[in-house]
This record gives sequence, C-alpha cells and structure tokens, in this order.
Amino acid sequence: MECSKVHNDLFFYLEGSLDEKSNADIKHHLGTCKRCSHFADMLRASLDVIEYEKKVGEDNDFADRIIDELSGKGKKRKTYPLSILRYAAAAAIIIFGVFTGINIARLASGYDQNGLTEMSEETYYLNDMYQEPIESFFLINYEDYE
Amino acid sequence: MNLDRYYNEKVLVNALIEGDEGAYRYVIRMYREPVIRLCRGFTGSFEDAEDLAQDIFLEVIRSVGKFRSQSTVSTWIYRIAVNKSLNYIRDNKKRNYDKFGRGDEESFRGGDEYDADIPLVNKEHAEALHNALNKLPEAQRTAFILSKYEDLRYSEIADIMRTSISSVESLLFRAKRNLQDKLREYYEKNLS
Repeated sequence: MECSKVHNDLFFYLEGSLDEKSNADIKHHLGTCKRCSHFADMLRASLDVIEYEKKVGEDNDFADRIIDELSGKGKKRKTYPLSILRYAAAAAIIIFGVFTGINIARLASGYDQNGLTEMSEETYYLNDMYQEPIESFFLINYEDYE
Repeated sequence: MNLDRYYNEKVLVNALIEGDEGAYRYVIRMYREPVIRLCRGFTGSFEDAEDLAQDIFLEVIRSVGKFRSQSTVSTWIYRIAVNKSLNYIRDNKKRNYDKFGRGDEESFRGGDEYDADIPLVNKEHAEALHNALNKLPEAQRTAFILSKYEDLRYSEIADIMRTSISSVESLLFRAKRNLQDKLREYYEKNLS
C-alpha cells in the first residue's frame, strides 16, 4: 500500500469507519512505515484534543449573568476590544510626544506667547547655540584666572 | 423552582416571549453545555466560548418573538449559535492573523492562548487542530464541529444547516479529508 493512499484514509481509519480490508491494509502499512506511523500519532493526538475541549465545567452564575444583563443590571462584560485600546494608547503617546516636543522647542527657542524673546535659565541649557563651543574652552588662557 | 412545565416547547416559547425568568433559566440550563461546546469548537478557547455563549443566549431570548415553530427550539438555538460563532471568527480572524502573523498562514490562535485545562503536551496539537479547522470552508467546518463536538446525527446537522442528509455526508467526508491534509501540512512545517 502506498503512503498517499494511507494519508487519504487515515482519518477514517482512526475513527474506525473503514471496511475491514482497508482497515487491515492501513494497520499493516503503519507497522512498517515510520513516517506514516508518526503522522498517525500526530493526527490521533489532534483529534484527542476534541475530547478535552468537549468537557464543559459547571458555572452556577452563568444564568444569573445573562438575566442581570437582560434586566440592565449586568456589568458590562467586555470593556473595549484589545485592538481599540492599543490604538488609543498609541494615539495618546503620539499626542503626548507632539505636545512635549512643542513645549521643549518653545522653551529652547525662548519664544513666548507675546512674541518676545527672552532667554530663561532653561533656554540657555537647552539651546546649545548659546553654550560655549568646545574650541573656546581650549582657547581659554588659564593664566588669566590665576 | 420547578422547571418541568417547560418540557413542552410551545409552553416554553410562550413563557420566553412573556419574559418568564424561569423559562430563561430553563433554556440556559438545557443548552449551556452544548452551546459552549460548539463555540469552543469554533474558537478553540473556553473563555471566548463562554463569552460567545452568553451573547448567544441574549440573542435567543431577545429574538424569541421571531421564532415561528417551524423547527425545534434546539435547532433554532443551534442555528443562532453557529451564525454567531461564524461572525465572531470573521471579526477576529484579521486581528489574530495580525497578532500571530505567520506569512501566508491563516493562524487563528497561538499556543499560549489555549486553555489552561488542556495538558501542555496537547497545546501544540490544539493549535494544529484549530489552525486546520480554521482553514476549512465554513460549511465543512460547521458540519464537522456539529458532528464531532456535539455528536449530532446527520439528520440533525442537516436541519440546523438547512440542507439534505446527503449534503451533510458529503460535507463531512470532505471536511475530514481536508482536515487531515491541513494537519499533515502543519505537522510537516512545524513539528517535523
């Protein structure tokens, strides 16, 4: 028997719905072909998952939650889908970033609402144009300070 | 509270329409497990299935006035459950695809997202199963889940899906073939 034929009928073999001869042929093939046997094990394990998932535990509050919701007393079960929260968080971060950037730029340029330019202490440190270039540092004649 | 009087479907439906809380509790008690099982087949997650089941019962109770008694209450609830589950998957598919983006693979869930009650060794098989199920055409997937998760007969599946028994047989045959092909692809790609 060819592997492809086994692959076609493996599901039916595992659920026991094949005729006797096909069943025996596949059983024999699985005993000799490691690859098909491995796949049969995998397929069986996947189908076993259904049996786990069919088990539903008790939940004594389930009916109460529905009836509360019908009568308007129920808590809103779901807040917002994760995707909406994610977009809202991204928007908030962007808005915060933009406003922070504008404020820092305003501070650094020394620009105020009246159009006047005045240099605050922060302005001095934020705007490196006002700071002493490194070259001038080396040009300082320390003897002048002594 | 004695709920036995609701065994009669006509009494049950009238009581639901009238807003009888006992009738609500009866329907929920009778169908909670099948509905959650079905939803779990579609979603692969118990938590999602429970949320979805809650929405389904709200829909059942709110729309009971539209029930025309042309089918059984059970069939009608299953239809609502299937429709809601398919809509849920359509709505979530893209989100999960983005979340677990794996090239051209329509990954539905990731291993860590699976329920805690599934033994660790089965989590990768659960992922394999739901990835494969999620790639089946909706009719095949629905027939498969109604058959394997709910153990319904072909005639019951045919009623729910509004199709013939032979169509259900054909859908299930193709679903099983396709499922094993998808699982083989998955295992060759991920677990070999």
